[in-house]
Amino acid sequence: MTATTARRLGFRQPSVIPGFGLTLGLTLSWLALIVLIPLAALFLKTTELSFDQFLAVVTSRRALNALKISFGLSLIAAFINLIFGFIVVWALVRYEFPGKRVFDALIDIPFALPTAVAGIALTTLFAENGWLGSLLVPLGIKVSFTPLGILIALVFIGLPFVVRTVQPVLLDLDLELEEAAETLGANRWQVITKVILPVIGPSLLTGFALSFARAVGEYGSVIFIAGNLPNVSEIAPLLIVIRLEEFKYADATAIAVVMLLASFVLLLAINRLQRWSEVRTGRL
Amino acid sequence: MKIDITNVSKRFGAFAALAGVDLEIKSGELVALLGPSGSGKTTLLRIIAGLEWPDEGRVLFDGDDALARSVGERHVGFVFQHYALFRHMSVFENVAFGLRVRRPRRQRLLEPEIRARVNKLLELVQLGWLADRYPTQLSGGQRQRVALARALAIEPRVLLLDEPFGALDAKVRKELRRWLRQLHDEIHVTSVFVTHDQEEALEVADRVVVMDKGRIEQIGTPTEVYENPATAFVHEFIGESIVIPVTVDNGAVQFHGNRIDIDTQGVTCGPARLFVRPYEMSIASAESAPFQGTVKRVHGIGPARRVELALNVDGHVVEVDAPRVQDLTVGQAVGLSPTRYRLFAGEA
Repeated sequence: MTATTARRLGFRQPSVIPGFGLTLGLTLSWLALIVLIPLAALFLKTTELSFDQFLAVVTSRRALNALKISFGLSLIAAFINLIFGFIVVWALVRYEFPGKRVFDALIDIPFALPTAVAGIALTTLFAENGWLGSLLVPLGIKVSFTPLGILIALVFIGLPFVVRTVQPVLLDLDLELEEAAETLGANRWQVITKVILPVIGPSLLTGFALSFARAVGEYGSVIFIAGNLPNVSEIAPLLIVIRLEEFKYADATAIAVVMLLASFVLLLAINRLQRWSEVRTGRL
Repeated sequence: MKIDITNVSKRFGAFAALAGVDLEIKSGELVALLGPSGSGKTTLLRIIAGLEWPDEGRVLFDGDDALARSVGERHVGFVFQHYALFRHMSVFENVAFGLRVRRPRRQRLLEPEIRARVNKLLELVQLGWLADRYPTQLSGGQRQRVALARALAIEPRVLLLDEPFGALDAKVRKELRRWLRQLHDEIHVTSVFVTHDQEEALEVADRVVVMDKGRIEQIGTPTEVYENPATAFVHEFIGESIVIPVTVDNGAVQFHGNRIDIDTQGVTCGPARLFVRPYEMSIASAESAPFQGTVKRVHGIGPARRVELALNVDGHVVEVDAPRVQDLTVGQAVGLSPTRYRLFAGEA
């Protein structure tokens, strides 16, 4: 029945794999249940505000600053993770060193560690009398309770995303490709830019996107280290929680809607970029 | 370009991949490195290319020390077994790669010159019509030819091919090796290719280098290595052989204690092995022949039939080619007499 509908609608390609109707139905129901319905509720709640009220909430100085801090620092953190994550992956894949497996396992800790624990640990380390913070004070650098602290927390939680997405692709990259480029006269830099990066580029973009998405939504680790000064070191998720605690539910969902849309646009753009690079390089 | 390899050795941990190899490759020659897996042939090829460094020994290109140069400076065209094409580049860009990365920059060709050169190469390998495709859209034989065109683009002083036909099916393999031979006759670049397929080596190469366990067993033309194998290994590895263990005692060959009428060919006392090609063992009447046996099976089509025989004394089974006209029945007792043979000292 679903199969015939699909055929009538004209989007079904003839295929030897059965179960198109069933799998599409299950996929859509599951997506609706887990993702679309809660998100729709978010939008619905926001409609309690008039459009002017909505604008007033999301363009208030505090909300704008919170959004700026959240998105700005998340992008910077994702970028840092992109670069250092790549270096970590390179070392893990290309070199043999004692304790390699332990290092490899350690990468996943930010995945598993309760974010509050991470936040408290980082705060303690980087406090003015902490192990690392006390070293930075003479240099005039303050980490805990500043935006820099937020950045460090976001870098911490985002690292495994880049490492784990790029690692399998780099492992798969045939050493013979590099040798071939070398026999053709390419130097190391040309090998990296013309042979290695084009192949692992899409996975780097995915890692960047995941790391960014995680950082935007991060709450637990940041609130401990941030100091949470409105307009200075207050992230958007925290502002949402504050509004909830004030029972201003619609205000909270208004900020959430803006975050959601901005994240969606950014992720879609990264996704298109990734697809473009794959098409351009003939992999699709 | 002439290549001189002197006393080259290479170890990987405890494994000796090459043990003192000497080889001279003449300018414009097409040489095959032939041997079973683990014989060191690919290692030797990679050392010539500069992808591997020997532990000792010398490699000279036209008298110049090649080991002082990196792989990029040696100007070698290397064709990898699995082609190693850049998946993210079109066929055209793959071939153009070597021209685009040329350094220093002022030696780099201008875009129209690159286009002309690449198109000419693609015509040479008969793939001009595929220039805009990507490697994943090509068949194995086409990929192989792209890899070859890419290697030729830098005008290499020597062309090195690692198992160039290994990953292709039988029919394409035959076509491509004939084509490679023609190509070599056209462009005359010194070429070395590695193979474990003796048929391929004998058909394509000017000279064949037979290797085993990191050593060169014999160097010679295809006819030489086939007709006059220098060692037991070469006799067994190239072409089919009947091998019969014998002993040499007091200047005479003995088979299980019976003296047989076979020349010792300079082998002194001790165990030895008699090598005979299947078509050079004639089946005669039982009495006069050096070996006696019983026909076990007769099969095959074509000008000769394959006859399986069990030798009388030890039941050792040998396979002999007999002319179709010869009348043989299963169970028949016959004599075997080699018309041409080689005797090598040592046990199997």
